[in-house]
Amino acid sequence: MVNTIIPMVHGDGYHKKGIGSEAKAHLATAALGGALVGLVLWGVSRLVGISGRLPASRALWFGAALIALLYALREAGICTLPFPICRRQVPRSWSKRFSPNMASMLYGFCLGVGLFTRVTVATFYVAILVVLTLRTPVEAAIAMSVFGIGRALPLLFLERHKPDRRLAIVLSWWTPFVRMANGMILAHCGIALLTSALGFG
Amino acid sequence: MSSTPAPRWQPKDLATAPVLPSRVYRACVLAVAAAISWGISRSGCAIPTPVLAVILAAVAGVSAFWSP
Repeated sequence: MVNTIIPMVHGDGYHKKGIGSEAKAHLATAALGGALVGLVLWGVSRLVGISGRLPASRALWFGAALIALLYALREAGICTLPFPICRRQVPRSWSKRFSPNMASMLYGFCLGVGLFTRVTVATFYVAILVVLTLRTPVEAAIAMSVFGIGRALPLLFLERHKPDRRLAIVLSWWTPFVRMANGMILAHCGIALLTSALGFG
Repeated sequence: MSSTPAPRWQPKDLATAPVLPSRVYRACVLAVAAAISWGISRSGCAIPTPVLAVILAAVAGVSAFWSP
């Protein structure tokens, strides 16, 4: 992803100041894709009778809490657990087939949607379960657009770095720490969800 | 247009890779995170579910960047 999308959103100007139009388009469409998924999730939740109903929401919070606490151990590298990962990735060919602006927008949208791309942290799936319990479509759209923005944001910070093997290695160094941070957030949110589900909060 | 050449990668750079602490230490960190959350919930300052969703989505989004 790093070697395909960074050159796409930043063009040849790795060392220029400011964020280019491709990067802005990438960020905007990532937020849009996320918001769209939030609305779809809210619609599904409303359709099956979860959204706005406390007993159903509590059952889902309980399930999400158990998953969060269990997978916090996995993210922290304490134990190994099976994890379903979508193997699909955004096609590299888009960078050649479309103009830089269009390709940036398409990559942004697909990565912002998130559901059909490779996400290796359990936090994403716990977030989806929690979004299903939100009462209003605005809350759901905002929550999932934050996912899209969060996914696009590191690309903007990397605007001054030319994507090469060194950058890929330095990024891979931080993977265990990113996973550990996910573990901490999952443990924290898992307990918060559990207390909400049991009516302690 | 002038541009600074990107620094070349050297194999010795790998020697400076940070290392995570032991499993026991990591388990303790998780326990502390869970205990803080329990304390917040019990003190009546429970985090609202929409805020939890935003926190989870933000962390998942930034972390997804590291998904290969």
